[in-house]
Order: sequence, then C-alpha cells, then structure tokens
Amino acid sequence: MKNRNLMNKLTRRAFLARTGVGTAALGLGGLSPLFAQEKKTYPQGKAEHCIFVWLGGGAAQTDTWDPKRLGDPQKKIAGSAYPAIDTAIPGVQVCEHLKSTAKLLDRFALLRTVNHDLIDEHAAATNFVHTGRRPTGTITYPSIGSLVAHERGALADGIPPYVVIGYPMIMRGPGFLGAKHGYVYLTDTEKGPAGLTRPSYVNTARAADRERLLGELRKGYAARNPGDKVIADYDEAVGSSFALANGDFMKAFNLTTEASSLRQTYGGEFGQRCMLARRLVQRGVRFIEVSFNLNFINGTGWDTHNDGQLNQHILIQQLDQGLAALVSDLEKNRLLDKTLIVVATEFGRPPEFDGGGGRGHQGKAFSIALAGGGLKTGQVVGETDELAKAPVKQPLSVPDVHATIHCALGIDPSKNIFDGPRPVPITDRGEPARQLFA
Amino acid sequence: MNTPRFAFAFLIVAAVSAHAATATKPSRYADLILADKPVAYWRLNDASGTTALNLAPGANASALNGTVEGKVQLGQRAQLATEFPEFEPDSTAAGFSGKGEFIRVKDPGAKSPLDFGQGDSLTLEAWVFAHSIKDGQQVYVVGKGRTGNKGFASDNQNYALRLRGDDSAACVSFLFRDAEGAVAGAKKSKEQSEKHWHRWTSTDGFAPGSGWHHVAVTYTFGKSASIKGYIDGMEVKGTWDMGGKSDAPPVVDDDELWIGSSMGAQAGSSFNGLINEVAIHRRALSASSLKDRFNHVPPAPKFDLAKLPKDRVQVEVIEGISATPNWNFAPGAPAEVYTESAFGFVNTPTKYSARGVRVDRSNPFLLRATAKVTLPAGEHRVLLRSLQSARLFVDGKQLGQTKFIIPNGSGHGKVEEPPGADYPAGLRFARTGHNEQWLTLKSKGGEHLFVLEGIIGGKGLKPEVGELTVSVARGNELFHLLAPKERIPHTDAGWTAFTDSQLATLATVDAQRRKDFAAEEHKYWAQRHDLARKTVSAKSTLAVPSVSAATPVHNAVDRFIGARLEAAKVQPAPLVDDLAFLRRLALDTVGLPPTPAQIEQFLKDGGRPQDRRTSAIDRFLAQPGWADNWVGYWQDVLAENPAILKPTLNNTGPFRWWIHESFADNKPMDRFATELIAMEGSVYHGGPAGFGIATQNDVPMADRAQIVSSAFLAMNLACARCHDAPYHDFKQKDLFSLAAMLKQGVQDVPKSSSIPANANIKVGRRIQVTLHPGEKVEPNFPFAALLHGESSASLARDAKNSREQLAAFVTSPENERFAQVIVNRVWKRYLGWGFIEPVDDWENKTASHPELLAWLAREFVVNGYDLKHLARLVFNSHTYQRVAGLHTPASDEPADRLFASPARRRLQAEQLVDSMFAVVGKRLDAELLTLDNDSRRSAKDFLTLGVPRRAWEFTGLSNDRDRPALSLPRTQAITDVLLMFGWRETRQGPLSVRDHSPNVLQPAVLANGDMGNGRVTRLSDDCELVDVLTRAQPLPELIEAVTLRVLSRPPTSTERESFRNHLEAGYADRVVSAGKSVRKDYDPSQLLSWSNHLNAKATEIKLAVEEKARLGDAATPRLKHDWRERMEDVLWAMVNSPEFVFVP
Repeated sequence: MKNRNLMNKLTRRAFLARTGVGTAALGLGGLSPLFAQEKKTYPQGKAEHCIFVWLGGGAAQTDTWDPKRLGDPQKKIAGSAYPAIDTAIPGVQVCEHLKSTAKLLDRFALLRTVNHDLIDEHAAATNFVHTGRRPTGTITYPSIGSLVAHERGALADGIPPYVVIGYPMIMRGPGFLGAKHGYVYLTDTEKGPAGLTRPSYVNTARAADRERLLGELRKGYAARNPGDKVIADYDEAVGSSFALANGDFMKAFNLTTEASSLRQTYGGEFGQRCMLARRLVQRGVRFIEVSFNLNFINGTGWDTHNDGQLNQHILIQQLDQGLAALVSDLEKNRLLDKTLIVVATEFGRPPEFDGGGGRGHQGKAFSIALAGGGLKTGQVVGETDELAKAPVKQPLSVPDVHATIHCALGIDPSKNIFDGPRPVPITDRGEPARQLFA
Repeated sequence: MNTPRFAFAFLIVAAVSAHAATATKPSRYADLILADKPVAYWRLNDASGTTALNLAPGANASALNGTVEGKVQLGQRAQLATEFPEFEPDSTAAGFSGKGEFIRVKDPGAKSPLDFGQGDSLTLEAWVFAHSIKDGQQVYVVGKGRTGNKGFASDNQNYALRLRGDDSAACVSFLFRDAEGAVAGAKKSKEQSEKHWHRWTSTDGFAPGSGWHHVAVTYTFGKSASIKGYIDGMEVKGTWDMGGKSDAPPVVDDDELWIGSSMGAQAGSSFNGLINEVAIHRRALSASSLKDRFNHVPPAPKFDLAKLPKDRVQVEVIEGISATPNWNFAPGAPAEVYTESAFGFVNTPTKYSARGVRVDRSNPFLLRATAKVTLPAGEHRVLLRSLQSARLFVDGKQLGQTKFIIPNGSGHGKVEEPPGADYPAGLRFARTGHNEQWLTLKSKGGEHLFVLEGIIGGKGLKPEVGELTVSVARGNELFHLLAPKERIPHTDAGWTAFTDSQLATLATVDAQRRKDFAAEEHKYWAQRHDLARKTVSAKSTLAVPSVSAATPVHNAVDRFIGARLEAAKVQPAPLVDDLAFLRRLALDTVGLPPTPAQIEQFLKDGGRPQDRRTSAIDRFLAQPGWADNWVGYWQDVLAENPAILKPTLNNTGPFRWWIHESFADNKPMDRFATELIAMEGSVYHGGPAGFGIATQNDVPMADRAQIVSSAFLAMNLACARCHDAPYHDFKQKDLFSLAAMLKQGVQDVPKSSSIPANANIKVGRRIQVTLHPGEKVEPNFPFAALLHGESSASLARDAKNSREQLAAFVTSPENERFAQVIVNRVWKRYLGWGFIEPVDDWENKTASHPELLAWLAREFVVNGYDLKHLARLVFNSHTYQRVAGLHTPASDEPADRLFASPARRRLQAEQLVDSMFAVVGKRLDAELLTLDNDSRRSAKDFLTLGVPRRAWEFTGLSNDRDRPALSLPRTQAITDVLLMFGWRETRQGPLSVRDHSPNVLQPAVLANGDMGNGRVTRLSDDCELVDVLTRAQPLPELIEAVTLRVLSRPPTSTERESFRNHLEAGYADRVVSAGKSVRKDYDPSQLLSWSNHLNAKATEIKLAVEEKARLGDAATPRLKHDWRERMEDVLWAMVNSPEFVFVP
C-alpha cells in the first residue's frame, strides 16, 4: 500500500506524463476541430527506451561513421585522419578506431546525410539537434528527451522517465512543457544524481538520525495544521523523496554490483555511463542522455580545432569500446530491440584541416548513428560526396532525424502538443527514414 | 642620474606648472647616441621622401642611407617631449603596417661597418611602438642578411634584433646563424638546419600597444655568455632557445640590412607599429649607458596637493581617455571626485542620467587615487595588483606598472601555474586575470605622495574594476592595503570586510546620486501625481461598505472583504499568532525570516498588540531587503533574461540592477513603467535599455510589446504574433502597432509572424491571419478607447516620441486598468489569489471584489502610485493577518474567492535559498557569475554579473557546450535548488505566476543537494551561528535560540526533548579554542577562464574543484567534530522541515 502511494505520487505529480495534458485538461475541449490534422500515416516502431549519446562539440563524420580517402593533418591534406576498416555490413566502412563497433555494425543504421546550416555557434546547433526547432520569438521548445518523457512517461512507477548524464543545460530541458517534464541529472557515474544522492559524509546512522529528527518536525507541523492540503501535499512529497532516494531507482547508480569483467568491457568513464544507461533502462527509465564530454582527454572534446585533433583517436576508441559493449550487453539482456541507441552530435567537421592541424565546423553533412530499437538495421541511410562535404542521396534534416526517433518509439511525429492553448506539432514537418521500418 | 630627473618630475606634479617643463630644455636624444659613437644611426625622423638618413659620423655616412621600400609612413608623430624629455617637441618616426614594407640599407661591401664577425662586439638598439604582435610571431626591428635577395643564401643572418610575441607580451630577441650552417648547396634535414640558428629571447616583454619602448641587445660573437638584452634601459633575463647557445662565428656576407622586415618582406616577420632611433655600435655598450636611453616622465597627474583630504584617499574618475591600450594620453577633468579609506577598489560610483537611470561611462575610463601616506623608515615591499593596466607613482616617480589586457576570443590559451609556497603568508591570492607587480620602496620615513592610476575597461572589454589594490609590507609582516590612516590587512577576511563596506558606501552614494541627478525628474513626477489626484477626485467616490460589529476590522480593506463574508455567511479565520505574523511579514517584505534582533525588538514593543504589528510593518517596509524581494518577481514578469555567455533566444541586458534600484527607491510604479518603456540608459550594465534587446528574435519589439501589455495592462497578445487571437479580441495589427510604437517607426511583419504551412492549424473562422509578411504597420496605440484614455497622449513629454506616448497611455490616470493591474498583482502576492485571475490576462474575466479593487487602485493613485503605501494597507488589514490555509475557495470562480483566510503560500525559490543561508548566517558564497574570469571579452558576448549576494542575482550557467571546464559547481548547487522551486534559468518569455505544485525532487534537492548539506548546514568558520553555538549557555537555551533563529518560534516540548537528546552528549566540552583561519586555500579555478578552457588541464582542475565543492565548506575547528555533526543534523532537520518552505 505504501508503495502504491509512492507510485501515485510520482506518476501523478512529479513525473506527470503520458498524454493526459490534452485539450480537455486545458479546458479547450470544444476546440479540437479547429486544429484538424493532415491525414498522413507514420510507421510505428516498438522501441520502449532511448539512449541518446551526445558527442558535444561536433564529431567529425569523416573520422567516425563516414570515412573517406585518407588525408593528413600535418600536411593539411583534406580527408579522413585515419584509415577505414570493413564492417559487418558488406561494403560499408567506418574509421579504424571503431573496430569493435565495426563488427557489430549490422545492429546499426548510419544516417550519413544529416544537415543544417547552424555552424557558427555550438549553442544554437546543440539547441537545434536537441529540440528539432530553430528558436522562434514566442516559444521555448522542449528537448527530445522531455518530449519522449512527456509522451510516454516512465516504464515503472516511482521512476523518473528522463535522466541526463552530463551537465544541466536549457536545451536538454522541458521548455514549455514545464519543470515536471525535466530531467534528473548527474555529471559523473561515481556521484549519482544531483539531489538524490546522499552526501558521502552522511553515513547510514547519521542519515537515520536526520530522518528521525525531521520526522518529529514534520509530525508536529502537520498536527498544528490539520486539513491544510497544500502542506500535506508537500509533506507527502518529502516522504516520497526519501522513498525515491532510498529505493530501487538509486540502486541503478551502484555500478560496483556489476561483474568487474563487464565493467572492464565497457571501459572508461564513457563506458561506465553506457553501462549505467543500461541499468536505468532495466529500471524503467524511458530516455537517457549520455554525454561524452570527457574533455580532459584532449582539451576540446569533440570540438577538435587545432591540437584537439591530436588525441581525437582516443575519444573515438573510447566511444567504440563503450558503444560496442552497450550494444552487446543490451542484446545479451534481450533489450536491444526495445532500446533505440542514438549517437548524435550538433554538427560535423570539414574534411580540410585548420592552421593548427584540427578541423572547423560543418553543418552541411554529418552523421548520426542509430542502433537497435527494433529498426531494420544493417543499412546506411543517405550518401555524401567524395569528401563528405554534402549529401548526394537522401538528405535528412534534423526534424527528419527526430521523426525517425519518435516513430521508432511509437510516437506520431506530427501529433500536436500544447503550449497553453497553442498547438505545437511534435516535430517541425519531420519525415522519418522509412526504410528503417519493417 | 635618475633621481634628479624624477625629482624634476615631481616638481611638475606639485607645482602644477607647465612652464617648469619647458624652462629647462633637455639635451637632444641624438646627442646621447652620438656620444657613444655609433657606426650607423637612422633616426627615422625624416619628414618625408624615400630616404632614411644615416646620422653616424664619418666620411661615407651617406653610403649607409636607407631607402624606403613599400608604404613606410615617414613623419609619424613620435615620442612626446612632455613624456620623453630628451626628445624634441616634433619628434617623428617611421610607421610600418606589418604587411612587409621596410627600409633597405645596402652593404657597402666587404669589411663594411655593418659586417660583424667572430670576436666583434655589437650593440643594436632602437625605439619601438609595437601596435600588435601575435604569440609565437617574430618581427624584425633590424637585421642583416636573410633578405631573400638573389645571390645570397636565404638563411644568411649575420645578426638581427627582433621582437617575439610570447604570452601577449613583446619580448626582445637576438638571432644569428652560424657560419657552419651556411655552407651553400648542401641539403640539410630540418633538425640539422635548425641547430645552426642561435636565438636568444628575453623572458619578459612589454605589452604591444603600450606606447614607446627602447629595446637593445649587446653581444660579442664567439662568446655566447656575453649576450645581454634591455627593455626600457633595464637589463632583462633571457634564454638561448632555438639552436642553443653557440660560440661559433656568424655568417658574414654583403647582403643588405633591412629595418622593419625580413625574409623577402613576408608579413609574418614584418613589424607593425612605429620605429625610430635605430643605432648600431661596434662595441657592447654598458648597462649604465643603455639605462640612460630611457627616460620616461609619465604624464603625471596634476592636482592641488593642498586640497587633498586629510587621512583619506582622493579618488577621481576620468572619462574619455584613449581607447588604445597605452598610457599615452592626457586625462581630462574628472567626472567624479570622492574619497576612500585605502588603495583598494572593486567598483566606482554608478553614473545616472537626468532621469535617474543607469548609463554607461566611457569605456575605458581612468580611476585615479591619490593620498599622502606616512611610512616608517626602511624598505617596504609594495604590491600593485590590477585587472587592467595600472601604474603607481611615489613622490612623482613611477614605481611600477602592470600589463594591459589583451582581448582574446580563443579558448585554447595555456593554464598558468598556481602561486608557489613562497607567496607571502596571509596575502589574499590574486583573482584570475589580475596582474601583479612586486616592487620595493625605500623610505627615509615620513610622508609620501602616492598616486595610483588604473584604466578600467578598454576596447572590446568590459569596464570592470576587478580588484585594484596597492598593498605594502615590511619584512615578513602581513601585507596591508596602503592607506593614510586605516590598517586593513590584505587577507581574505580583511579584504572581504573592506569591500563589503566599500560596496555598501557606494550603494548609499548611488542612491543619493539618483536623487540628486534626477531632481528635475522628481518634480515632473510630483506634478504628474498632482494631476492624477485631481483626475481621481473628479470621479464619483467609492463607498466603503459597513459591516456588523462581529466582523473584525483593522482598516477599510476588511470592510469590503467583511461585507462579502457576511453575505456569504462565512466566518473569517482568526488572527495568526504574533511570531507567525512576524515571520510572514518578514518574508513578504524582505524575503527572509526575521533575525533574532528583529524578533526581540518586536516582542519588546509595548502597547496594543495591533499597534505592535503596525510598527513592525513600518520597520520592515523601510528595510533595504524590500527591493531584493521584488526583483525576482519583476524579472519573471518582464522576462529579464541576461546570459553570461553568447546570447541566445530573447536574451536581454541585465536590467535587474535598474529593477533593484527602482524598488530600493520605492519608485512610483507609473514612473517605473515609463522608464521601462523608454528603454534608456545602459544596455549591458543594468539600465532599462537592456529591456530593449531580445537577441535572436526577428521582431524584438513585438516581443517587448507583448511583455509590456501583459505586465501593466493584463492583456495577453502572445497569439497575435502570428494570427488574430482566437480567444481574445486582439488582432495581429494591435500587437504590431504597439511594436511600432516601441520601435519608434514602421514595423515590418516578418515571414515568421504567420502560421507556417505545416502547423496543423486550420485557418478559419476563429483563427485568422490578418497581417501578411511584408506588411508595414504604423505606430499606434490600439486600446485608447478601450481604456478610456483618448486624451492620455497629451501626458507625453515629447509628443513625437512614440515610446513616451505609449508610456503615457499605459500609465495615465484616466486609464484605471494600470493601477488595478498593479493592485491585483500585489494582492495576489500577499494573499495567494488575485481579485482577478490570472493576473496577466484579464480578457473576459471578472473580479471577485471589483469595489475593493477599484478602491485600492484609487488609494494607490492618490498616493502617487506608491507601492509601499499599498502594501502597508494590505499588511495592516485583518484579512492579511489571519491564519492561513483554513478556507480554500470551493472553485476557481471569482465568487468563491472570499479571503476568509489567506492561501497557504510556499516560499518563492529565491526566498527559500536566501532564507536558508540567512538563518545560519552565511553568505551565498557562489562563484563570480562569469565565464570570462580574466575579462578578455566584451559584454556583448560575455556578461559578468558579479558575486551574488541574494538569490535573484543568479542566472543560467550557460554550459550549453557541456564542458566540465566551464562548470561553476558552487553556483550550480544553488541554482539546482532554485530551478527545482520554480525559478527560471532563462526567461525567454514573461511569467506572472510560477508553478507551485510540489514534486518529489524539491524535498530531495534540499535534503541531499550540496547546497543544503555542505553549505547551509555545515558549521564552518564563516557561519555566524557558530558564534551562538560556542557561547556559554545551558543546552535548553541554545536549543531555544537556534529554533527561534531558524523557525521564528520557540521549540515545542517534543522538539525540545528530541533536540536535547541528540545534543546532550559532549555538550559541556563541545567548544575547542581555536582561532579563525586567516586565508582560504588557494582555489585553482582561479587559473581558469574561457580563454583557456579548451586546455585539457583546465578540465582536470575543474573536476577536482567540483569534487571539493561536493564535500562542502571546511568545518569550523571551534567545535568538536562529533558534537558539531549532531548539531548539523538538527539544523538539517529544521531547514528540511516543510514548515521552513511555507509562509506561516
């Protein structure tokens, strides 16, 4: 019964989800005919979860998923920085540093022709890839994580539907959907989520003392304010917060319970984040954004200007290790078909090298990789020109990528959600890559 | 030789005599050079033409005349005689653009005076004014060989005097190529080739752009140890870097000597700036000869010594100084003159317009501080520390100068080393980006005249004072701020106390200045308010209802409310008890719980209980926290949205500072609205002009119009941006007409302001697009008739100014809407519901108490739109003072809002955070709100919002790049709490009411977050509560005191018992005698800024800092560990109690 209350609490208020926020809830019941939708059908995938890997800074497509002829950073010869290797998809190659992923590439679908024209500013492009919208003067758009959480909620009661492993930022946020469709975040797998993890210096005994002292204060306050629903609701949230902080969800963050051989397979901090993502999937989290922002490796992260290029191969190797481990592990746990993995970035990089031997920004063509999620994987969508500077076949806009993700998760990409009385389609005219759906 | 010259300089200072300077004409600089018998000497003061004359004596002197190649600009104005007394008044120089022009001097042949071989000694010297030099770049002042001329090896460098850019400084450098490496024909590997280059570079340099400098090297070929370099006559240290040192002979041939470029005149090796007085000597000149070359008399500040205030530091703020980064300017008259107690500055008085709004000073401006300070005899260590360049004069002599900031947009800079163990004990560490000059001053004892000049800001920079200080120490004493009288240790604690007091004084001064500057403006508003009173009194009176004796009445408000309650037969809730009332009042006025002193004063106050409350209301209304408690509200309503990094959608300037000043001054609300709409003053530093920008918005003024109309007229025009509002009577044109008024001209309708083809919206009967992209809309106030304000436009002071007109329409007393909207907002804030809901959209809404709303609005207008008058009426009412939460309206219908009992209100996010820190007596202690710690970027892209003292001062942390090096962990811990409780990190649009529904993450972030644990409830040394806890007193008294402090009430008997049980063990010997710590540990994030955040080391440092932040503040050593932790547990329980998050 107690557990039941907690569930209600979380689903009803904290992580209010599903499609309850419809026109009726807004008191606009009579208006729906005004917003008649176009008759168009979209494929409906069966994925239940999404792990959204974020390569912040702009990962070079030619050095990862879309290798081209070999160039030379030193001599400033345009092209890939590393040789390419064959993969499990016949005729498709990736960078040599993605060697483990290459063997599993039949579980992947590579979107090689994603494009936009926002290259000057990381923030603007990051916003676009996360929200699928350009900013307009009157509305703050939700991130894809918040949209998915809003549409589908968590898979288990008492679990936050949306978790970010990375820094909080506005473009990961819920926009007009409001704070309750935001995320729980952590910046480091060693730490656990901010606000839910007891500080290291408060041991169990001390925590119990604190809870007892607080319990007395709560009891007294409630007794002095009988029937005050506002107070009672908050007090209930206090109780629920302890249940959440001490419950099953938090156990996901204790990675030490995993076999050390598996932990090693996943590799460094990025791999550990991937493993944590799998654990969160198992607990019913709907959308997990995993940031690869381990900038101590090369200073710049994926924003490989100048000498940031020097150690880029280490970033790629770590991406490879974590990603391959994640795919294999999900598969072993029969979760791969239910879990869509997206490896996204805000833009790509040109094949040319800059004065410092690194690369600038390129939005006209870049790659986003998908894996699992019940899609028809083992194929490449779209094709770029000889140096991956522009799409030559099936260009994909960012809204198209969003539509593909939504369809994979069984969400109609054209459905209207509401900012107050204003209807806003989930994607901005996004068309899914239909060949990925059976 | 120096001393008398400097004494002479002092004469200028003291005597304020321009004649003194010209009376003793200095010897010509050329005489100095010629006395050293140079073999070649190009003054480069040739007025024009194509020849640069060689002035070195000798029969064949003209053979060494130079020819101008390319666009060398001869005859450029050079050293000012007033600053460089050896130079004639019309001294000129040759100007080089850095693109490859040069002066060519032919080598007369073998064994010429220009050839230097093994065993020969040489001196190369010149005056340079370098405009710019890139890091790693080497530019030629003068060099022989390596010209790229045909017939010569390309690397035949006999010798060269160059400047090398290193860490934004221009260092002096000497280069030659040994003869072994010059064997023609042989192909050499890069490595082999490089080892024959020999380059010596000084470790110190001067800032490019910082004016004229003398550079020189002396060397004897074959003796690598003989190298010496000089800048401004002072020997500088250096190292042989490339190729190492070598005793090998140099290449000697008949190639040319070039001034200003080399290597075929390629841009990379070309000098950018001015050069003159190039001389070559066939011997190594002595250090003392070269020292005499540089005699700079800085344009010493002029003032009247007799008028210096005694025992104070006189401060002058001088605007309009040169924007180029150098000291070559003559400051004009000061814009401000005031005094300070010591040579330490963090800010200057704010500048205000005649309307009393913040305006910008010139950028840069100069801060000059002057005082006579008596020093004991002996040697003093002097530390000059500044952000932007500063210089210090003692008795007219320049003792030191710090470097200029080099603007920098890159993030790839290097991370400096932290200060070493030899850093003076106790001295506060320098903040990021600050320069330090360690100087020595020998005093015979007695009075010295100190003048500190600091440049604030600069081209492409923010006008930030940073921490501008002069501090002194003798021997191993602690450093103290230089001061005529006070003794202020330059420790963390000393500095904090000093700057707190400086900022408080400046705030008072600023408030007074707003009054003084805007005296005329005050008169205008007084007239406006007279007119408003007349307008209102001309209207029919509003009758105050009568009520039965049983209905409690404190003032007229209660009669209006009481009459409705009687009609509905609802019994109002009783008065809340005294202490709960006080806590409610404190939270509603200053946004914090009452302090122990305020509680004591309240309880001691005699007289009738009701009078006691009334006096408390008056006291709290007078508190400065009144302004702090209003800022967050208006930031939401007006969508104040500054970003600390590269603005995105709808970012504005930080007009928060203007909001704060407005409420600190209790500015009449009609004037507040008028100033906002006028959008005057400072854009990036806190004036209402900051409201006038909305970045990335294609119709910023439509956005602003929407905010103004919802804030002050409760008209929601949001839909009208793209189509006529379906549920309101507003047309697209209404919004665009208002936008045009704000734009002060025709407003175009952009493409985006329409319904996109894909929008799944059927344009039809209800939704109509009546304006089309490309249409032009004229300024017009569309609601004049609606608001009965047709005549309001006549109130505009400037009839042609459509912003003034709009403000007049909005605030006219004819327009009852404005006053009622403000009244309704205030009522909602204090009672929990408005008369009309929602407060920002009144379309088709009715009021619960239209008569009271009208009556309060008239009271408000008659009293000059005085918000405190309105609040006083509300606070004194029985209606406000009742027990909260006893009656909840049966529905959202206005008729059900009876106000029998105020709503139960949760603290605003800002109130919660402020209260938590306040009850334990700690400051917020967040990082400086900036990502540009070293201040190398402009305010347009990188705002700095200071170190927050109250929660409203925070903003989003803009880590959109997800980069650990850009995280602000201590601030993040606080904004995590703020966000969870409804504060917005960005305010892209206006919001009048935040979401107050509870969620599970709210108590979670308080219970587990770093702010609640490692900060608020950590008993650290800087926590006032520790003083209370270490006091000798019985445990029950301590429990009483702490509970009163945190919860504003005595503990209940259960709590008393529970806390006693928890704290009893070890209570008697909880106190440890220990002093307070002198200095905080060095914070390595001091080394970081945007300029180096892409360095891998920056990420490593920040991760360590994050880890430390997570562990919280260091615990006080004054309490025993075990007892302290238990006390922290009690505090934790109190601030986590639901009681703490609600208004009583």
